[in-house]
Amino acid sequence: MKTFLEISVSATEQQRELLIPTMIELGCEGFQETDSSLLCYVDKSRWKDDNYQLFKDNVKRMLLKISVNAAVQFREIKEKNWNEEWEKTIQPIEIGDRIVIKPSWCEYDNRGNRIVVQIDPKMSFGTGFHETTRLTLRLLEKWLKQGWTVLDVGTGTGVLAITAVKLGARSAFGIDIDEWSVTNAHENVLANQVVDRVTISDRTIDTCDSSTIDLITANLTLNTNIDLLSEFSRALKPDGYLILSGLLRTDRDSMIQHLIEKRFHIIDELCENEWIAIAAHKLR
Amino acid sequence: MKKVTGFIKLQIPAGQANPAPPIGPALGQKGVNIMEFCKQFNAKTQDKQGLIIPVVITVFSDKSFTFITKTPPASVLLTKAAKVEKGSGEPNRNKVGKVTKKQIREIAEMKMPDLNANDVDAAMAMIAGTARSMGITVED
Repeated sequence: MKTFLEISVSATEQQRELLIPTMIELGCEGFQETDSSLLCYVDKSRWKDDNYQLFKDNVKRMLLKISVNAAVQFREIKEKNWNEEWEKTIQPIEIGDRIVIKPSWCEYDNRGNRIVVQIDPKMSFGTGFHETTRLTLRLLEKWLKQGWTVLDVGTGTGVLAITAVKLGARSAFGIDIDEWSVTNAHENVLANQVVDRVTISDRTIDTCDSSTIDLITANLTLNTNIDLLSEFSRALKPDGYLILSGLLRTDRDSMIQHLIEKRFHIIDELCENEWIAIAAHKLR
Repeated sequence: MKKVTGFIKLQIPAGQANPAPPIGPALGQKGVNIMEFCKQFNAKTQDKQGLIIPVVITVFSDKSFTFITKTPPASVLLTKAAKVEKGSGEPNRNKVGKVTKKQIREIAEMKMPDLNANDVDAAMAMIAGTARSMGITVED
C-alpha cells in the first residue's frame, strides 16, 4: 500500500503561483488550494529512507528562498479506499434489456430475470453509474455472440469482462496497468464465481497473442484509444469486433477517421448526454 | 435547485487524474464519486498533456458535482517557454532564463479568460510581472 507525503505551505495566491513550478520540479504531482495554504502531494516511495529526510530538508530550504515567511508542515498519508463514502450511496442499476449491476450490500428483486453482476468498486472505474460504462454494456449486450473470447483493455472493476462471460462469452481477459484495479477486479471475479472463465492481469495489450480475440472492449480516452488502435487490430481475429468508449461527442469524428484508416467498418454508435460509444468491425 | 455543499480547488496534471492525493482524499471526504471525476477530467483535458490544470469542483448536497477547468498557472507556462525547470529564488540577482515578447503575448492570450485584465496588453503586463518575479528576463 502506497504512502504519500503532504507538504503544506502557508502562501498567498501570488506566492502559490511561484511555488508550483518549484514543487513540480521536486516531484510533486498534484496540489490542493485551501484558504491559507497550498497542499502539495508526492509519492513517498520515490525516496529511500536514508534520503527521505534529506528531501524534506531540501524542500524547506527551497521554500524559504521563495517565501521567507512560509510555514511548512509535512504529513504522511496512507493510501486507503477514499471512495468509501460515495460507495454507500450506490443502488442496483438496470442497464440495457438484460443486465443489472449491484453492490454486494444491496438486495435486488430480480423479477425480470436479469443477468446480475455484483460489483464493489472501491477506487476502480466501472459501476454502471457512468455513461461510458452503460454505453459499452449496451453495445456488448447487442453484439456479443455466444462462445466468443473477449479482451477488456483498462478493465477497472472488471465489470465488462465479468458481464461478457455472463452474457455467453467462452472466456474473457481483463487487463489494467493500475494496481488498485487489478486487485479490485480479482475480488469482483471471485464474488461473481467466474474465476474459471475470467482472467485478470496487469499485462499490457502488446503481450497478448495476435489474432486470438473475437471482441475487444476499451473504455479509455480518445487519445489512448487512438494510440492502441494498431494493437487492437493485431490482437483481434480477422472479422473481430471492437467496442470503444470513454469518448466525448466532440471526439467522434477523429475516432471514426482513425478507425477507417485502420480498416475498421463502423457498425453501431450510441450516445448518452455528452458521451458516445462506437462499435466497429475489422475488415479482412 | 440543489444546494452547494462545498468547493474544491485542485491543480492536477491534464489527462492523468487518478485516486491518489489530492483527488482521492479531497473528493472522498465530500462523498463524491472519485472515479467519475477522473474519467470526465481526463477526457476533457487529454489534449493538454504535460500541463498542470487548475480545476474548481462544486459539490452539491446529493453528492453530485460539476467542475470548471482553468488555464495552467502563468509560472508553469513561463518555465516551459523559457525552457527552465523553475524560477529563481533571488529574481533580482539571479536570472534563470529569457522569454520573448511574442511568448509573453501567447501566454497572455491563453490566460485571458482567467485574468482580471481588460485587454491583451494589460494581460501581457501581468504575465511580464510574473516573469520578472521568477527571474525570467523579457526580451524584445
